Amino acid sequence: METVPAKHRYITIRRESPDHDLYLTGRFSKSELAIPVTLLEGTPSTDNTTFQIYERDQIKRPALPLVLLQLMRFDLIGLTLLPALVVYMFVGGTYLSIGILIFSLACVHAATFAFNDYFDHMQGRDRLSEVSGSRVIQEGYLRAHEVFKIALLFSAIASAGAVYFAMQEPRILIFALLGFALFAVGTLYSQLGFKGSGIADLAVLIGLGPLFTSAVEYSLSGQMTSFIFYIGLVYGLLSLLYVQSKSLVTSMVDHQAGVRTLAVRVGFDRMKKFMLVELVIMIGIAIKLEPVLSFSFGLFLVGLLWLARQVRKLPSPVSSRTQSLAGHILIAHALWSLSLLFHYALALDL
Amino acid sequence: MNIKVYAPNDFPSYLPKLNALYDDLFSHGKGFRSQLIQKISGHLALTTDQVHLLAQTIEFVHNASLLHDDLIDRSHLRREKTAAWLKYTPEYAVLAGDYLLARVMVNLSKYGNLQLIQLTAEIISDLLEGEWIQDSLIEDWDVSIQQLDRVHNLKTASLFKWCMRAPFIAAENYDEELHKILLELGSLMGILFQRSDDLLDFNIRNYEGKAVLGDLKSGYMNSFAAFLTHDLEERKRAQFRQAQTIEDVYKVLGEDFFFERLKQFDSHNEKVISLFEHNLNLLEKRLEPSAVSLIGDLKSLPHILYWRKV
Repeated sequence: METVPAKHRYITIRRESPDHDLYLTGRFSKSELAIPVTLLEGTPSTDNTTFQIYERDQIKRPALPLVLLQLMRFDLIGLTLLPALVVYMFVGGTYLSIGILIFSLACVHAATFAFNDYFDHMQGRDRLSEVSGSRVIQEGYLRAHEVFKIALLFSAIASAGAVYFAMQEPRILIFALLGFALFAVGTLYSQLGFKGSGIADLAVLIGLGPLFTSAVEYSLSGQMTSFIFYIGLVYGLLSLLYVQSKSLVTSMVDHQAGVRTLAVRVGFDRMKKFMLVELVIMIGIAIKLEPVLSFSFGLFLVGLLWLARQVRKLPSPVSSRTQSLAGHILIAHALWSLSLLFHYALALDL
Repeated sequence: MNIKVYAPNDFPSYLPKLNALYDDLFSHGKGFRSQLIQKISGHLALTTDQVHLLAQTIEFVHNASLLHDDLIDRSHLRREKTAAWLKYTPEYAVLAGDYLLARVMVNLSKYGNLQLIQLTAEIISDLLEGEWIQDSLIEDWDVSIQQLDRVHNLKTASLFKWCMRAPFIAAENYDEELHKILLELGSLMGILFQRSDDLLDFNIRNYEGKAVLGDLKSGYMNSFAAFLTHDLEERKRAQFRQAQTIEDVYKVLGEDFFFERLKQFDSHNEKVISLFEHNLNLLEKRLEPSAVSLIGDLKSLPHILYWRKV
């Protein structure tokens, strides 16, 4: 965020004050922004919030489309869209179906992260760590109430897509309901007290994994196969690894704040072991699929082994190696899709 | 008051070299933290014994951490003298540090304020956590300034947080809201102190003529080094890491670039100073009328800590 040098203004408001939520949501003024100060102490104050006040034109905001891409975590869109595209590649379907599916999934993705940003901001969790969320509120690009409205808009569009598929095949509603439940868990897991219970991790594993790929397969072809299920399991494990790598980064702050994530409960060293086990499981699944993926999974396997080496060498939550692990996992996720694409192309003699 | 003087029966005379080690260690120290204790205590009407206890406690804890730090970092000098682990033995340095912490516990438990004992134990715990985790950052050339702040909040800021809170606890003022503000003030002081110290390593406001680039040569990216290089290409960063003198740094980065970055770094820390002043205003509202004069004394602190202006 670029700012024009000016005298820095701060205001501290008690939570019970009627002004507090006005400042927090950004509704207190049209010409000024109030951005909560990032905390160094682990526990966000339950009594008051300190805001830094900026004039609106002090913040040099990027173009709105770029801000929206940042809000919807475009860097993570592969986690949602790549599995769907891969399944479409294997099972086929009409261009209209896949187009609506991809668009709806992108909206679900955007809505989930936007709601997450909003609720984390309202609860003060975004002040605990500078690596969580999209940071569009913290950078002053959007006010919290604007983020909420954008999240609602994306949800409405995604729902329209779900209605389309339900009209094609009513049984898809089961998946839609399950997907909604997982979406709710993904958005509200902190508020619901699920953080640390493992339920959120399970939701990520299943919701971005086999449930997701099987639902896409069913909505495109009316069938479900074990092949797509196992592909989905690998996607789910990779998504889980991503979430766990982020929780490793925030484990020190989470511990200080009393947030008992899995990484805090089992500890840094044991969490690494969990992740190594997950990598081994992925390698096992890839080998199980080997008759089908006989050549293309080699590159992916090398990538997994490299990831395992990185995980083993992680020194601490604050090290740059731990910070960059999530990015490497995203690459592995893309590599899995690439290897499947390559296999498919080979199968077609392309 | 010379708070570095300890009573003859504080340390057993039958332990060889212990008193000599402490004489070496405590001499030449600035005693900034104990001076801060005295400054704050003066506004709270603490007794001489209370002030002496608090000042000695913080100096013991601080110097214990220095004894251990020098051994962990393999530093050869401390306050222009040979480091204790080198002059005596590493074993004596470890034990001497532990012994200071033990004496702190003995003294505080005799004093009998449980809250003070709890606060001190927490601070020592935070110090050790910070030291432990900082060790994982040696030769981590990509560490971010935000992560360094978290480490410094444990390591450096802990002592300042203690200095801010302990006198109020000794005065039996346990107002929760007050202590939250004191905690925040201590955190901010710690950050400013550390960042100023990190600038010394690059010969910025180095009025005491300390040796430069010690952190870099030890494989440690301090906060200014991280800020300076965070978005540079890898080739330049690799060259930066090899710098042996400040002139090498200018040559690699360009002097204009270096001082432009320094300006931005100073600007970031001006924000921290403003936040400190804001918290002072909040503190003023929580103080007893008899203690409000403390605000005047604290106002100049961030400037002294960061700009090194007295």
